[in-house]
Amino acid sequence: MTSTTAGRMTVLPRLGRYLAALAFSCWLGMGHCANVQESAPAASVADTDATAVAPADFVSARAAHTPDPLALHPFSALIRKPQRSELLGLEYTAKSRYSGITDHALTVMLYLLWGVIALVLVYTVRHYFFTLNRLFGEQRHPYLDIDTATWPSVSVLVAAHNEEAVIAEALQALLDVDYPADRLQIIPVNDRSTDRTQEIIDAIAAQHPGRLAPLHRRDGAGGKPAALKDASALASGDILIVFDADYVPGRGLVKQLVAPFFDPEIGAVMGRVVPLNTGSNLLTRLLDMERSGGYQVDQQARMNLHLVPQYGGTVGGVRRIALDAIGGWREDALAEDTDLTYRLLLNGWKTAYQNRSECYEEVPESWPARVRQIKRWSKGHNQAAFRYAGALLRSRKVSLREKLDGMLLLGVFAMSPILLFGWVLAVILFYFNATNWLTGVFALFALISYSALGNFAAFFEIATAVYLDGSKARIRLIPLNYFGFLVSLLSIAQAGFNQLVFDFILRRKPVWDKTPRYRPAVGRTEPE
Amino acid sequence: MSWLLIFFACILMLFLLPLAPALLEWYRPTDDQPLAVVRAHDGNIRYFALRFRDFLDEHVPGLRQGNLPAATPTCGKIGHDAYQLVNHHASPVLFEEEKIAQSTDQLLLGKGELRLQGRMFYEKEVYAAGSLRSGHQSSFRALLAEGDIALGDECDVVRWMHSNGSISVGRKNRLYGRVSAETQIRLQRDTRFVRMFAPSIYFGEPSRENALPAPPAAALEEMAEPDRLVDRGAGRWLIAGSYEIPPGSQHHGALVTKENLVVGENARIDGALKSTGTLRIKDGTCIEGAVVATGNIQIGRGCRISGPVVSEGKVLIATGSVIGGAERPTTITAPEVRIEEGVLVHGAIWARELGYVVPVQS
Repeated sequence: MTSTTAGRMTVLPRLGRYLAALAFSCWLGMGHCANVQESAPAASVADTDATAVAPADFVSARAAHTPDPLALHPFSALIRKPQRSELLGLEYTAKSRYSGITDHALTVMLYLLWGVIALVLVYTVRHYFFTLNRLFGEQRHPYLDIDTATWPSVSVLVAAHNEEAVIAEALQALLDVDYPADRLQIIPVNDRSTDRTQEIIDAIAAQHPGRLAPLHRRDGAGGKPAALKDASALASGDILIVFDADYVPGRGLVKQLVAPFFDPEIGAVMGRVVPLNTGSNLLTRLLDMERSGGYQVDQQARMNLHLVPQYGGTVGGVRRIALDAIGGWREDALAEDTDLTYRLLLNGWKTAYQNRSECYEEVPESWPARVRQIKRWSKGHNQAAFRYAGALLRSRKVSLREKLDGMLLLGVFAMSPILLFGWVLAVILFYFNATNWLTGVFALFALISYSALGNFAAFFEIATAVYLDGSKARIRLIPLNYFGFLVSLLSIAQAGFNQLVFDFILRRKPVWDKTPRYRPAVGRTEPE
Repeated sequence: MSWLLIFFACILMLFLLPLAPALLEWYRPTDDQPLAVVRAHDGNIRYFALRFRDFLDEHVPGLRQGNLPAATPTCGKIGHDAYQLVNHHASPVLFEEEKIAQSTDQLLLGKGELRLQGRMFYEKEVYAAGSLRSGHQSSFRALLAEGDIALGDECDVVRWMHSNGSISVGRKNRLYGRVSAETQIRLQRDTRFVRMFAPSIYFGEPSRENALPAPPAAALEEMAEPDRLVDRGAGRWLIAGSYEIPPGSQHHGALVTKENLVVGENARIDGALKSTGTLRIKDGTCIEGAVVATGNIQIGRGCRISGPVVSEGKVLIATGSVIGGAERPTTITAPEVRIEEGVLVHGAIWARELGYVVPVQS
C-alpha cells in the first residue's frame, strides 16, 4: 500500500467522524426547534402569568416575556404566534412597538415589502429561466451559416470623439473586412474632436481613395445619437452597421452582422462585445464576467426564446428602410440603442442577436468611469421605459411573450432603487415590528430562499456564461462580483433619483458622458 | 477577553474562507486574458484545404506546380506521417498488409492524375496535382485535387474535400465534412451531405419533364391586401396569423406572417418571405428574395428562389427547382435539408444535422 493511499485511509474515517458530528448537531438543532414550536402556544397562553412558564424552557420564556422590545432571540422567528398567524406564517397586519409609527403605516410598509420581494422573485425566475435555457435548451443561430449571397450595400458608421489613440486601428480593420468593396461604405464620424482624430481619419481616407467618406461634425447637437443622425443622412447603404472607435472588427464580422437582414422581419442586429482589457485590474475582470453573463446567457437566451434581444448601439446594425420608417435616430435619446430597439419592436421589427459575431471593446478601468457609464445607461433605459412601456402593452404587432420580456427588460434599471427601497423597508419593519410580520418556519425559509437564491440568480447567470465561454479560473472571482453589484445598485439608484428630481422636474438637460479609452495608440497612421 | 478574540477571529475566518479562492485569483491572476476572438476567421469553406495546400508547399515544394525536384524521394516521412509520391496516371503502391487490412495510413500525393482503388480506407489526406478518381466503397479522411474529383458509389469523406475543378460523387455517398469545388458539384441519389459550396450544385441528373415553365407575366394578378394586415410600412406587409397567397398572383415587396404561409402555384414575389411557422411554396413559383421560416420550408416543383433559404426546421426542395443564380449565388441553411434529384443550387448549402439527396421515381 502506498503512503498516499494510507494517508487517505486515515483521513477518511476522520472526515466521516466530522460529518457525523455535524449531522448530529443539525439533528439536535432541529429537534430543539421542534420543541420550541411545540411549546410556543403554551407560552402564549401563559403570557399573563410569566411565573407559570417552566424555567427550563428558556426559549419559550424569552418569547413570552420579551422585556426589552429591541431584544431579539435568535429563534424568535420560529416561534408560532397563534393569535395572528396566517397561512405559512405570513401576517396580514403589522403591530407597531412604538407610538411614533402607526400600525397602519407599518402594514402599508409590510405590503410594499412583499411587493418588492415579489418583483425580485420575478426577475429571479427570469434569470434562472434564461440560464437553464442556455445550459439545456435549443440554441438558435439561424443566420450564422449564411456565407454566400448577393450582399446588400452597407454603410459602416464609426462614431469618434477624441479617439486619436484607437481610430486608426479600427479603420484599418474595417478596410480589411471580407465584404465586396463596391458595396461597403465606411463613414468615420468625427464628432467635434479636439485631438488628432480628424488628421488621422483624413490621412487614411487619402490612402484609400473612394473607400472612406469621412464626416467631420463641428456644430449641431452633441452626443452619439445626433452624430449618427447626421451620418445616416450621408450613408448610401441599405444596411447601417455601427461601431465605436475602439472596436476592432474581424474579417468576417460585417458579413455576419448583415446576414440576419435577409430575414424581412429583422430590423436590427446585435453582435457580442468582448472586453479586451480584461487583465488590467479587478474592475475590468469583474466587468468581463458581467459582460459574459449579459451576452452569452441573457441575450442569447432571449434570441433562443423569441423574446426581445437588445440592440446595443455598437457591433450591430439597423435596416435603413426600417430606421426611416420609425423616424430615424432620436437626438434626445440618452440610450439610442434601447430607444431604437423598442421603436423597432413597436413597429413590428425584430432584433436578432448573433452570439458568435464577436468584437473586442474596452471596458472602464476606473470605478468613477464605471459609475458614470452605468448612470448613463440607467437614465437612458429609464427614459425608454417611460416612453414606450404603455405603447408596448397596447401594441398589436408585438406578441404576448415579447410584451412580457420587453416590460421586464425596460424595468431592469428600475429594480436597483426598488431593491434598495425594499432593504430600507425591511430594516424599519424589523426594528419597529420585530418579527411579528414574519412568523413561522415556512416564512423564514421563504426569506432565506429569497436572500440566498433570489438576489444571487444573476451571479448564477454569470457563472454559467463563464462556463460556456470555456474560461477556467476566472469563475473564482464570482463572490467579488457582489461588490460590483453593490456599486451598480447605488449608482443606478442615485441616477434614478437624479433623473426624477433634477432632470424631469427641474427640466435639466442631460450631458453625454464619454467613456475614456485606455489603449495606447497602435498602428497610428501619420498624416502625409 | 482572549476567548472573545478567538471567537471573532473564527467568525472572520468563516466569513473569509469561502472568499479565499476569489482573493487568491485576484492577488495572483491565472485566468485574466481576454476571450479569444479570431479576427482572421472569415468562415471560408476552403479553410482546411488551403491550410493543407500551404503545408504541401512547405514540405513538398514544386509538387503542385509540377516541377518537383528530381532528388525528391518517392517515399518518406513528413513529421510523423509517411508519404508516397504517385506518378501521373498511376495508382499508389500499397503494402500487402495494407491490402489485407483494406486500410492505409500513408499520405498519398499524386504528381498528376491519381487513381485510387475501391474498398479501402485512406486514413490520411490524399492530394492530386491533377484529377482524382476513386473506386466504390472507399473511405477518405480528406481529399484535395487541383483538377476534378470523381468518387464511386458508397464512399465516405470524413473531414473535407476540395477541388479546383468539379466534384462528382456516385450514389449513397456520405460526405460528413466540408465539400467545395470551384466550378461544380454533382451528387447522385441517396447521398448524405453536411456543408457544400460550388457555383453550381446539381442533384442527380436534370429531368426536363419535372421542370415547369414560368407563367407569362401578363397572367399574374396583383395581390390584394390581406384582412389581417397590421403593418405595411417600409415596403413590407406584416400579417397577423396565417395567410395563403392566391395562385397566379404577384406582389412587390417583402411579406411577413406571424403564423404559417402558403404561396399558391405560379405566384411571383419580388421581395423576401418570412413565416413564423411553416412555409409552403407551391409549384412554379418565383421569389426574388430570401425565404425564411422558423418552421419547415417546403418548395414545390419548378420553383425559382433567388435569395437565401433559411429554416429552423427542415427544408424540402422538389425536383426542377433552381435556388440562386449563376451570377447570384446564395445559401440554403437548416438543420435538415432534403433535396430531390433534378434540383440545381447555386452557392452554399449548410445542413447542420442531415442533408440528403432524395430519389425521384420517374
